[in-house]
Amino acid sequence: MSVVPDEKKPTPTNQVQSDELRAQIFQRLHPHAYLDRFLVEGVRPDGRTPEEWRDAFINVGSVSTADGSALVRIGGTTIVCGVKAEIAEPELDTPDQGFLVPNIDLPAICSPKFKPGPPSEEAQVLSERLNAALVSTQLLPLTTLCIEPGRSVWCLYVDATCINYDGNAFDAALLAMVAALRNTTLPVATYNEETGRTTCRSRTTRHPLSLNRDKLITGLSFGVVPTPSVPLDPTAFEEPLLIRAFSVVVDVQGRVVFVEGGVCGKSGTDYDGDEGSTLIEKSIQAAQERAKILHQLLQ
Amino acid sequence: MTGLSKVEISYIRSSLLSDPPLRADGRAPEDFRPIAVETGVAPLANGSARVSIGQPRAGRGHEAEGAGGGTEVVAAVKLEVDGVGDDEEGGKVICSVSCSPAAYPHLSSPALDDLQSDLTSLLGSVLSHPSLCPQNLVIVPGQKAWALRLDTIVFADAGNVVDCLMLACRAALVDTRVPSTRSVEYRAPGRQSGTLNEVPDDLMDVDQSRNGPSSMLETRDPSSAVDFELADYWDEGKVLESRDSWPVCVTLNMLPTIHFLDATSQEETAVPLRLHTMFSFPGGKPTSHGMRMAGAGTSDMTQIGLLLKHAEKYARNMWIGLEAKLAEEEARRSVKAREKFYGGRRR
Amino acid sequence: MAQSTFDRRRVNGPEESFSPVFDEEDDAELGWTVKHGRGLADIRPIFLQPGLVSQANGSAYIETEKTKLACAVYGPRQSKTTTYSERGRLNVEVKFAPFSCVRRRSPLRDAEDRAVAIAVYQSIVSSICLELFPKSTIDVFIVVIENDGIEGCIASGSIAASTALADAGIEMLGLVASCSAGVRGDEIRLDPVEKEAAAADGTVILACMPALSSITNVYQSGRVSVQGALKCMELCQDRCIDVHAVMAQSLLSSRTSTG
Repeated sequence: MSVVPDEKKPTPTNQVQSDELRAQIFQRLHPHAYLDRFLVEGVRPDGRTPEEWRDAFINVGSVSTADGSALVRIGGTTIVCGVKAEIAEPELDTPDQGFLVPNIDLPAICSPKFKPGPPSEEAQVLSERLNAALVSTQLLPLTTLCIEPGRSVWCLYVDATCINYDGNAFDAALLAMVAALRNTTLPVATYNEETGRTTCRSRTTRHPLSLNRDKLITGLSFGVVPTPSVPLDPTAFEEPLLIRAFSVVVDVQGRVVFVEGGVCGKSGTDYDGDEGSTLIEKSIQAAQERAKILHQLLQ
Repeated sequence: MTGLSKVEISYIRSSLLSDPPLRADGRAPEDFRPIAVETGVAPLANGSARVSIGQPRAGRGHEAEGAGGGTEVVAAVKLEVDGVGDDEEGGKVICSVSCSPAAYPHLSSPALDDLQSDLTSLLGSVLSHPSLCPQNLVIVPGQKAWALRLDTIVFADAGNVVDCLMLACRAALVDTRVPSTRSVEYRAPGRQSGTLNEVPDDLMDVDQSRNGPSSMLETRDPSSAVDFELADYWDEGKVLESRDSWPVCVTLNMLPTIHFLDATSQEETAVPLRLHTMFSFPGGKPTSHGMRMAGAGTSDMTQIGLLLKHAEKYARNMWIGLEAKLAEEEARRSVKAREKFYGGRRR
Repeated sequence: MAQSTFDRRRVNGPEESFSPVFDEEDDAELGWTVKHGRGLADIRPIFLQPGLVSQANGSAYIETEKTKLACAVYGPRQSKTTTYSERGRLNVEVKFAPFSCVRRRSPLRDAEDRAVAIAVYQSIVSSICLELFPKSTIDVFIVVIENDGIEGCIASGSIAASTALADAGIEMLGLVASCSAGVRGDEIRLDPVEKEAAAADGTVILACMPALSSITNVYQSGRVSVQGALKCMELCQDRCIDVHAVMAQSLLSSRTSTG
């Protein structure tokens, strides 16, 4: 008689491991049901309540090749943003305005869902939203970028690169861009009428940008799921399961400057007027609270 | 070459490792296939060359499939006028390699693009290195310089394409002539007429009739020059200054105990590791311009030290051979040009 | 000149823009005379942290003074191509962030990305047991956040890639360490910064597996004598032993801290 070891009998550690594995399989196969089970209990897969956001972390000025830079982490999401200032000719219809060119890159490094190559649809949409947010708020008056009207202006390329994508890249990228712009300094440039060239005096004498201090903006993104709760600051796992996602951008005084939303993932039921407006009110409140914390970090 | 089977690979390897080493075409390990070099193949280019390694010779038609043809590359140099940035000295070498799809019928078009960009970056990293940039590419210091575009096309690849490319590049660069230029400066007409007023009237008339409206352009010392013109007399131009520094490449194909040169496509597939070495011998002194390893094998310090000594020797032989051939080509072409010139006059 | 073509997929700036030009160069430290308080055979201190990219199977972030890059490994995962391959495929992609260099880089892929990727690929390919992963692809992605010399970039990229592969638990023959050297005249300096490399006659990058004392990549550019090149390689190989220790230590401490 050979002794067959009893593999079926669960030892305590074995039990924990197999439960973990089962949970993982359940998460993969039925992500909606998995998330719902959590939300019914009032928590989320990462242990937060639906109304809780993740901790943010900002580090500025670490990239010396950029004129201004910031690294932002919100939970797992990590974004590096660098500002490069170049000199360009202004547009004919706006001779005294410079350029602010924000772009976000979601390279293949940050998540298995992105492939190398040209910007994904998600990156394109995100760049457009960030551009709209930065332009509509007048954080940086473009006239302050003028060197010589009609001849020469600064062009600020604000490039954000995502290193780790764990959801809510909008909030992280906006925070990184604002922080990088706050960190940006420009050399003193003069336009020479005779040669038609713009030169800078020295590398060391630099001045910060004249940002609209009270227009410093922060964003908070929300996701709506079929169950009646609004998860703030969704993770990469939650994002594809949302039926609606929207972002509220508020300034220092808590004024709403930008609200943007849309259907994403599977489209669900529409909210009627009342429900919709309470939802918006609730989220604006949350965004204002969040803004206070983020502004402290920015200082 | 597309994939060889394991058996084919082990067959090639074991025959190479046998004593004496056996190769499908009967060459010894350090033998090259016959190399043909021809310069001046593109009449509109400033310099050009065609190099082929292993063209089938009469009675050699029985060679294994794929090795039947040869590796063939054409390189051409075109000089273009280019502005000079503020922090640059001026003059640059821009390399590009394009591979004819006919040379690689088994590659998909993205794979072909990758191969082209790989070869381009390999060539660029060696030949565009600032240490090789010829000084006489500058036309007007701080203003204008020649951008040297070195375009190569791989027409056929039967192995050892890197050596062939580098040979063609060196031949084309040696063949290159930089057109003679002289710097000119714009002189305001007002100032000119002011000085002219002081000279006697008759002289002034002569001056104007002789120079006409083109007197605004004067040949000047280069420091204040803003533009240039081509020397109007017929001239072949000057050779590139770093002429004797453009390197040749010898690729050492490494098997654990031996190395061999000029691998055919099949042999290339069968070796785990290759070492490309680029050497030049300005004034007979060996200089290494680049080393690249390629393949999934590994090596060690002693092996590399030994290989480099061999590589230097092989490269020197190749260098001497190419120099002789290039001199011969130059003589042949100047004779041809003279014949054409005088022949045309006699008729 | 950053953007010459209009790109619908990005937010576009003006058609042409130029890097600012400075009247006076107040950078007294030029070329070979850069002072950084290092000895000739010293390399920049390495900060190496595995496992920063939570979405990846393995990752590493490396910082050697001004050279900063992140590397993530995805895989082994199913190859996209339908043809059967007995060995796994290694794919290395390098991307420079637009703000990573002195001049802004256009976000489009350029030749330098590819050149660095090929060099890193060559450094690590022979260390991975690719025969264990039939039909699979291992993707190694590198983002250069700040670049201080292409030589240091390739060396750091190879170190980060090898560490990330180990972090992903992919079977390897050994960790690949890498080091670069610049030569000018008879003087050899290890791990040159961008300005030193530009002033050097030639540069050598060596990648090796110190545990097996085997060399996986040699990458030499510029003009070097054969003796000089060999001397560089020996110095680099010695230094790689220290780099290897840093890599092993960082992997060990990341394991113990996460349990």
